[in-house]
Amino acid sequence: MAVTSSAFRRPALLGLGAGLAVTALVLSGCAGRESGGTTTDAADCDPGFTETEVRIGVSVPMSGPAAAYGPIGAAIQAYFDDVNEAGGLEFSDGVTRDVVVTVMDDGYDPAKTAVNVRQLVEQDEVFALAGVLGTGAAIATSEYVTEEGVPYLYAGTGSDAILALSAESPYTTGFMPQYDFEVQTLSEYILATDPDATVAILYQNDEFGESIRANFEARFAGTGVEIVAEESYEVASGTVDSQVTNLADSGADWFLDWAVGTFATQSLKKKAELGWDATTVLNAPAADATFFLIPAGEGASDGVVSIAYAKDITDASLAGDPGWDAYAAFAEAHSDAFDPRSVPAAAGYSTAQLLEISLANMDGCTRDALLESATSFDGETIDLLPNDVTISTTPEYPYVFSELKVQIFNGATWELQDEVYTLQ
Amino acid sequence: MTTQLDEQTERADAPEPAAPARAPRITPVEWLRTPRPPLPLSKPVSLTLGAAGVVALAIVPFVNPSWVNLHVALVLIFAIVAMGLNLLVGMGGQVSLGHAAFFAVGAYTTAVVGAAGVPAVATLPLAGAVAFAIGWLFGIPALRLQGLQLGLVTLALALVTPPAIRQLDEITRGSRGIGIDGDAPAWIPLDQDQWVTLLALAAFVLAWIATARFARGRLGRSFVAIRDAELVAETLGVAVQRTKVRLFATSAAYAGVGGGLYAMLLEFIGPENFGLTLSISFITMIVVGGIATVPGAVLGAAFVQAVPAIAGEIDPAAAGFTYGVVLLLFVFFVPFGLIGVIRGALRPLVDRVPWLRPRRLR
Repeated sequence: MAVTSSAFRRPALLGLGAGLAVTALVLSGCAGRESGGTTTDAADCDPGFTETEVRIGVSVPMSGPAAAYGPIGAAIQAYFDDVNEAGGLEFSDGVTRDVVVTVMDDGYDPAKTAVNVRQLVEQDEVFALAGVLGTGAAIATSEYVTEEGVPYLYAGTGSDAILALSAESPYTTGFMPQYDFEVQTLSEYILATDPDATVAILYQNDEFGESIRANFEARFAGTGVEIVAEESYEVASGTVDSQVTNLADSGADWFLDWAVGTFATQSLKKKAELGWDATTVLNAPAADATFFLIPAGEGASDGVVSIAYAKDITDASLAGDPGWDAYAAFAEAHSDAFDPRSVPAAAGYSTAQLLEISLANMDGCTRDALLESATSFDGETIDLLPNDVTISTTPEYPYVFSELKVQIFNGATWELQDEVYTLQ
Repeated sequence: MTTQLDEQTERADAPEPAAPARAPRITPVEWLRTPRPPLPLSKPVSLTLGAAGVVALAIVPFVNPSWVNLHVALVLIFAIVAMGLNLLVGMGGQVSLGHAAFFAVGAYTTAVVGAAGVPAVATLPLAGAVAFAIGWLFGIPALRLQGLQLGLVTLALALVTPPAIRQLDEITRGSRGIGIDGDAPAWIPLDQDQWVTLLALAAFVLAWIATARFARGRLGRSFVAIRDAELVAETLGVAVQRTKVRLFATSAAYAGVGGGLYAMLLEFIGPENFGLTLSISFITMIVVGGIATVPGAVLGAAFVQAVPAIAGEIDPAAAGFTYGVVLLLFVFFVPFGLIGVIRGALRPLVDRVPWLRPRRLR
């Protein structure tokens, strides 16, 4: 019996050495390192912006556990393919350019997002990044994009952390409504509807959940609304049934449901089972009818309240609304690339339209000009924006939305309410 | 697995013919499925090649843009982890599906200690040490189990890693994630990506030397003895339990150092970095590269880094599928890993050029 493994005893370095040497030589041959100087065009334009085209980079998960968000990238790409086919996008200098979108898959692996973002900037020389998914990715790349001065627009996050970052990393902006603005909108809605309400809150036992709870508490302080029960749950736990049962015992009139993902479905189901007669207010990430509300069962999600920052693309009764029709036609034409009813596809469509406005309005051909244009919207609208809501942005507030509406679920689709809530 | 290794070991130890007799005709599939001993290279030749590889890699960060360096650094980091895992699986015959846990321990050690003001480089040995300690504590009960049970226990370890990170909110900042300053010290004029790539290269070289020394030393012999015949090893005076635990902890330390470097490279980590897929990709690396071989760890790491990206470029929608098919093909047709293919391909060259071989085999 052999006692030692000769495989280890005599390291065979040949294969590795040769392989690595060849790789190194090949790599060094094909990609030079530039330091500092990023200007390549004669007219002092930043890389990725030429007389004929502007290059945009996107990194989203197209594989892995979050592959359902892949349509964000597919929709952005399809949107600008259409624009290019129709002749291109006219910029403020009167020149029409193609907008070339490169989409990369990161499988929601932050390490891959980091590599992709660098590759898009350095190899593909994109002018700006758009629609990259994830809070972690946005924070992880913020230092890099700031150093390189590359706008990282409409990232798929609404985390309060983006605001905290914005002083030192102004190049990153979030697509989703800021979580705190969401709390503000919904607490105003509750105060207006039921000034003496009793509310019960379910939240995730971590920093995110804790900040939501604290924000609601602050908004209700000094009003007639009273938080009568609070329950938190662990993300690692299997169910939120016992928490919902405890909250139901409080007999509160309102149920602030900040359970995320399938926990949201569970909580709606349990609440219906218990016959707890409270109005559910659901967080925006969980307010996806197809994924989370309808699976809770017949009637379980009726009357659920949530913020609205887009039209319900699954609601066929909106046909006739020009924006809704435009999206429906777009999605139908590209149904081979993504599911027309997928909410992420609609988010990608909106991201593309925001980017289109930013590009068309930019003054000059630098990345800073794009950032400035993106952060100085004044009452703009896009196709899927709820009626009466407009988009105005400032450099101080790195999110798209400063106006929101509230929507109520009727068991099949979302019904938009009239009131518009403005960021305070 | 053990039988394959035995075969490989025995063949490797059989006297190697300087010039093989006319080889019998075999099909390409048979050729791929043939276990192969290491190439009989003389010491000066292997050292020269190794040094050339290291020098070439040391040049990489200076001539490439940061995204290439990120790729190279990730391969080096994963190779370090795979070497450690190879010690455990290849030499020790124990299995761990949970090395992402130790990777995370290392990453968070660097992040948390770094945030307290310790320079990031100084946190790397600590990352290894903390992972070693936790590996030791975990190993004491776990290594009383064997085979499938050990696999399950370590699988559980991988599963609890992200929730545990969220749970330890006060230390790890939970799902908010934690930032790391991976920049080079002010007196070193290197960009962050260059600096971390070079650090990873240094750690990689150290890990390589350490692994080779382990394998040759008393400890390595006891590992292999336990793998091949636990009872015999015990009779010969090897403290089986203690040796296993030591091996497990050592392997965890590699993962810890790799995790520390990973944190410095990405400069921001959260629970989602350390999912089950990471643990599985560690196992993939050693299987694809070649179990129980040091260079195999590197090849496997390069494979895991490159193939999904290439598969994604072919067709993003089918990236996962393509990767899965490639993996299946590998397991079926290249059971001895990439290193086996390279050995097979280069063997004729080594056989023909006498000065590549040690004197006794010329």
